Amino acid sequence: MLDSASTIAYHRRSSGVWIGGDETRILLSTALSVALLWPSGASKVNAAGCDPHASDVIGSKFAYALQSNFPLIDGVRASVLEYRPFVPFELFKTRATSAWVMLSQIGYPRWAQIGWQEYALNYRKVFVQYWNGSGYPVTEWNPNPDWTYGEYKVVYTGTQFLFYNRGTLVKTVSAAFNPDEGQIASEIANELNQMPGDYGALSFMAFNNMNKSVAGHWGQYLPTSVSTSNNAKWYASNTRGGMNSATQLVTADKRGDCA
Amino acid sequence: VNSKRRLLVITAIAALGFGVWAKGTSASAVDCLGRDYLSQGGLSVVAEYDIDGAKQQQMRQFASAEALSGTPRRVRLVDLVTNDDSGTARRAVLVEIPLSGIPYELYGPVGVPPVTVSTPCEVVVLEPDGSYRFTFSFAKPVE
Repeated sequence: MLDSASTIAYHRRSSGVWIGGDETRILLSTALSVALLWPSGASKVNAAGCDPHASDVIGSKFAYALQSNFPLIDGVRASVLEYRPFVPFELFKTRATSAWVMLSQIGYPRWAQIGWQEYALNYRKVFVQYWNGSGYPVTEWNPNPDWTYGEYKVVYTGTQFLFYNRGTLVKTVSAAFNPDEGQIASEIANELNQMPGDYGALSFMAFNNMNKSVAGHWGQYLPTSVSTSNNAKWYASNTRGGMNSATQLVTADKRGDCA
Repeated sequence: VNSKRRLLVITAIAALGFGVWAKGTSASAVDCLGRDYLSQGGLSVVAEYDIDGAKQQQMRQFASAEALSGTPRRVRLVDLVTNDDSGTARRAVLVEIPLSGIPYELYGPVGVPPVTVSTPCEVVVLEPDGSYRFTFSFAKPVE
């Protein structure tokens, strides 16, 4: 979802105190933050989950379940684990790990999604992002409790997209496209980040009760494709023992401490 | 003639490149608390009120604790209509946080190439007591 290259000016999340000032002070503050975090165990400060010990490779990678080529699809929902992945601090840039449900238009950069996202230093939010005809508005709210399950849902009415977080309608927007695909996925925007789920520990990121709505009727999601951007590095399955392949998905990272 | 033509072409390419760069980085050219920017997120200001300097500074502190990056700048106390609450206006504090505006790649669906976008700022929306409501930003494709 988000792949922001915005400069991190100065994280204040731990102290909650804003210092302000010019860019020089910001840079010094950032350097001080790094000095305080390094080498005393940045991973302990920054992250839950497991460190994939990977290279800095920018660009989103996915572990996903698709429901493709479905012109009448008008809703996707899933009960999503609020997993806490490893997301390292990167100086001057920050790239998220996320998990979400989405309606999209095949072959076009047009989508409407809701889920959770986490950046470094415990910046974690519920987010909605969508194509509005001219760009991609993003709205963020406080996160749901860690390690709990709750439903994210996006619905297309024919004229609007409705976004729900745990049964609460959080946003209504005019629809700028007609969806014909559903997507449910874990995503990392940099290979430094952990794909949600720890393969080595068999502690998976989980999506339960996956459903799609077709012409207004909800039913099993029945993914047409379950895979990852690179199956040597990441894991996605709807067929592990005991799983309901029509409604469940797990993802994980297979690298580094997660191996 | 050829050298002049080459110079002209090089100049034109350089100007075009500068234009793209300037467009991508001109965050300050966007009024992030203005009607156009807010409307991208379905936000509409229907009334505005004075807010004193000390209160503004306090709101900047609250907003900075909720922001991923950037330094809070302008603060407005308003009645805000969102597209989440049936058109009802609610008192809110808007805090503008300029971002770099440097173009970056935004990924959406699996299987679709990323879009190059620029985000000039985010707006942290607070309750009048400073508690957090939500954050809005708009990623605009860079042509």
